Amino acid sequence: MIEIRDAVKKFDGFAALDGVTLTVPKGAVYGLVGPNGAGKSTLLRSLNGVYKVDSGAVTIEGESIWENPALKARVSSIPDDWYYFLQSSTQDMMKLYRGTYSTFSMERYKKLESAFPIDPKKPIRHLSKGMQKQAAFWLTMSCMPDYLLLDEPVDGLDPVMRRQVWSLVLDDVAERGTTVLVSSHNLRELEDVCDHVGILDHGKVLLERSLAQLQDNMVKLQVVFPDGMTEVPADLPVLHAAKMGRIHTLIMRMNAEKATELLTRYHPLLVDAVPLTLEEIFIYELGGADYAVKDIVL
Amino acid sequence: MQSKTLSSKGLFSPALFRNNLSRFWPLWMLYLAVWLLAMPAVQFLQLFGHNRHWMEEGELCFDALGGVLAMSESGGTIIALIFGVLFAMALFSYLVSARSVSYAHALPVKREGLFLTHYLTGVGVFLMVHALAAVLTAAIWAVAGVQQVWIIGVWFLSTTGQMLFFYSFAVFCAMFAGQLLAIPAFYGIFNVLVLGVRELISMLCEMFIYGWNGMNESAAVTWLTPAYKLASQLGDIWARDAQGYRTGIVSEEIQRSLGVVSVYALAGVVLAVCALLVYQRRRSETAGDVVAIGWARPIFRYGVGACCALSFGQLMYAILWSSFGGSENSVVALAVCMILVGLVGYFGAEMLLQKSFRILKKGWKGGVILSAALIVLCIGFSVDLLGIEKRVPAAADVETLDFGIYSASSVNGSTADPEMIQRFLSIHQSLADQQPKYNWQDEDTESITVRLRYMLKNGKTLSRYYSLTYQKQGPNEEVLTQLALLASDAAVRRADLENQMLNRLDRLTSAEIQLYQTADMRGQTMSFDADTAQTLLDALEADIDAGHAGMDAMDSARWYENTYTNRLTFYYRVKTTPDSHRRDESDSFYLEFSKNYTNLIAALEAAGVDTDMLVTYQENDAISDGSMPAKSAYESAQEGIGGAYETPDSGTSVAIIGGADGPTQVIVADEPVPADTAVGG
Repeated sequence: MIEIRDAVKKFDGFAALDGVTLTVPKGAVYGLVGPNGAGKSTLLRSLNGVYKVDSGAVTIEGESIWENPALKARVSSIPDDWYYFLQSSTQDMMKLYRGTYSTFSMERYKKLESAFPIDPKKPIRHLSKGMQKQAAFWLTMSCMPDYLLLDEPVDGLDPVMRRQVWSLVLDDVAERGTTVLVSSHNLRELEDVCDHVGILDHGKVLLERSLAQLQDNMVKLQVVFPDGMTEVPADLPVLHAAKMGRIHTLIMRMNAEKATELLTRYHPLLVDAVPLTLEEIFIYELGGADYAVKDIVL
Repeated sequence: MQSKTLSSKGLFSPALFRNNLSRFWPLWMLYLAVWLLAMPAVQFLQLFGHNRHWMEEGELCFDALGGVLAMSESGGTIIALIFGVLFAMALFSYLVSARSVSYAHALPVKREGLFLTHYLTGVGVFLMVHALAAVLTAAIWAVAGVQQVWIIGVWFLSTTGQMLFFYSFAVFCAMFAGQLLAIPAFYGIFNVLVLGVRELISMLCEMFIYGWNGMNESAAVTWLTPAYKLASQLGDIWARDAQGYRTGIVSEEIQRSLGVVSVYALAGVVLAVCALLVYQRRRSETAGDVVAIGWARPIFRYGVGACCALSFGQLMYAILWSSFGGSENSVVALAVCMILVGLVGYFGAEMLLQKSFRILKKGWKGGVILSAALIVLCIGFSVDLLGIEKRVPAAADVETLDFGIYSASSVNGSTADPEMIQRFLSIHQSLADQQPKYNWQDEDTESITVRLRYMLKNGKTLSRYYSLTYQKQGPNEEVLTQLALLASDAAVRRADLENQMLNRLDRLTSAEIQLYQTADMRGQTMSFDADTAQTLLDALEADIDAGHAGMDAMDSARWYENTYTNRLTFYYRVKTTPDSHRRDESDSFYLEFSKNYTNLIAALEAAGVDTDMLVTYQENDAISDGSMPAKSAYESAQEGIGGAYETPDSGTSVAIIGGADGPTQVIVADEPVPADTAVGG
């Protein structure tokens, strides 16, 4: 289990992490979402031992990750700008990973060779961005990590390869109980793979729940009110409202039953509860945190 | 086993070590090539090349030993100085990029492990290269029959020690640098920082402190300028026989040199430990910053400002002040120049640190602090806050005194005589109290310079240098009168002669006097044998003891009238001392004498010199401008060349020898000859 308690990390006075508290259950696929500059990459770098937090605790299985090589050997990460030595090939980097990570599996490395169409002897700098990402996955997955930290992992991969790498990751989760923390802006994709979600904004966690809880906590309703009632009643706790013809679309922070019950008082002609996508949850939650799409008149 | 243990603790990564070896192989190969060329290749050519055909085997071997030892000293120092920083730049380059540092620090290796792995890669490489070069050189020596293989061991230890120091020093600098080019910049600056700052402060003192004569050679400064110290660690390494031929190597000199290197090697280890401590505190996010360590940033900011002020500020002042005709130094003008340039340096450093041009808002307070510090510095020096100007040692504290009085007739000497030291101290005290100025006004003005260097009983030295001016009609100030007396004092003049020749004199071998033709400086040289030379020296000493020397020291007009252009040169063998390896060393001393040297002139006449041929500086100028006829010995000689030139006297040999400046007539007096038989007439 990954636990972060009241973590603060400042850069020249600017708090990239401002009291973050977050828990990733063991075996979970945890999606970390947030606007640009929310502190997601800083959080991941604190988790793999690159940054030392100024205060608070960053622990994995109860142990601090900082300067803990035994623990770090069980953690692998793929940052958004994966690093490789300039003149190295995938094979060269494999040798380094193999020598550095005691858990590195040559068997898996060979098995994965068929999954990634890369010439292992070709210098990585000569590979396309997407292929470099594939090389990163190939090597990282060969390390047999117990904890996998991914920052925009499928950025640059084609749709087939995206599905391929997610399949590999999820197989690992299923078979080995790997815990995955993934940061991405591709919420539709996260929705498919994550079972937990945390929303980070301005260095703070706005909320973290299982995806089911999250979807249960917010509801989208399509309502048709009786004749003569053109506006949404003011006493309804609506996060967002839109109208098309006579159909009102309302976003309410409660479960579907309670929302329907509230609306029944106004004798609607139609009430239909629709589950929200992760992207909608993200947008409406951050809208409450003063981060919403603004209507700019150009 | 050891590395495995270290590896399991995350303190060493064999995989990273191997990766370093393979990644930077061109650098390692270049280093290997340099040493293979400098050692075995050079030795091979030296021992099996052309030299073998014409040099004796012993000399050939000594040349080989000398070549290797030179490589352990200056050659090795230069190579270590350059490759030390290249190694550090290559191995610790991962620290200067956010991507690479994130990669490295995410690996399951401790910070100590990363540092040690990279550091030991460098150490391992240069040890292997040195060992290979040593083995190959030893093999060549074995084939050539050179016995002293231990010299290669000396080279190995010396070169390895130096490389360990410079490499560790560069690694230490790398720990503070967040950009690759900052590593060689810091390294270069720190290598000469102490010496540079010392010289800059000395320049400042020279402007404002009356009598300032530079800072004394300081062992601490030399030690803190490692390249300078290490490049000149070896003195004369050769033991020689009576004829000056090399017979072996002075092992004490080698031991002393290795002692110096071992101190630096130890310092290298300490620097490596310090570098590790800094690395443990270094934050990954500082990659890309010029200065990566937080507490070092103010030092950088103020250090750059102060160094700019001291160097370019003084330069700006010197250019502007001299351009606008300032004679007396102005503390205000200097302070303004130093503050302006200092602020440029300070804000420049701030821009580098902040990576922004908008630094005034944040940095103005620091600018004010720096300006205030520079004002205090300038005022401090101008009012002599440390009391340097007034510092005159007590007579009881002085062991010896080196002195020099430079006027129309100069003296340089050294004395331990308490009475003479007291006289100089008295003048020193007067100069310090009265501070007469150097103020060159017109042709009626004379100048005099006094140099004093006291060796104190506590082992320290104190140096002063005073330049002053006075009116030609005679020094009217008390201190100048004292100086005039001292400049012509018999004891002072004797000390001068002792300093220039007598202290080193074993025996005179000959002497000669130039008898110039003044128009085109073609001249005659009259030589004397050893006995005559001794007679002349006795006469000279009699003149000195009689106070004839230096009589015109403070009056350049009289000096111009009385002093001869003809130089008298003594040739002599140098005394053998424990420090001198050669027994046959010779030297010479030439003397400018005047009409006041009556004993010497009489002796010259007795030796056959027509003293009418002697030409004073005044006569020389008169002959040059045609207002006086030339003293025509040369013209007679010219006639002789044209026809049949006869030797003027059987006791004197005369020769006309060619030269770039025309024929030179040489007259050799086998015996003292009457004055009227000298050449010319």
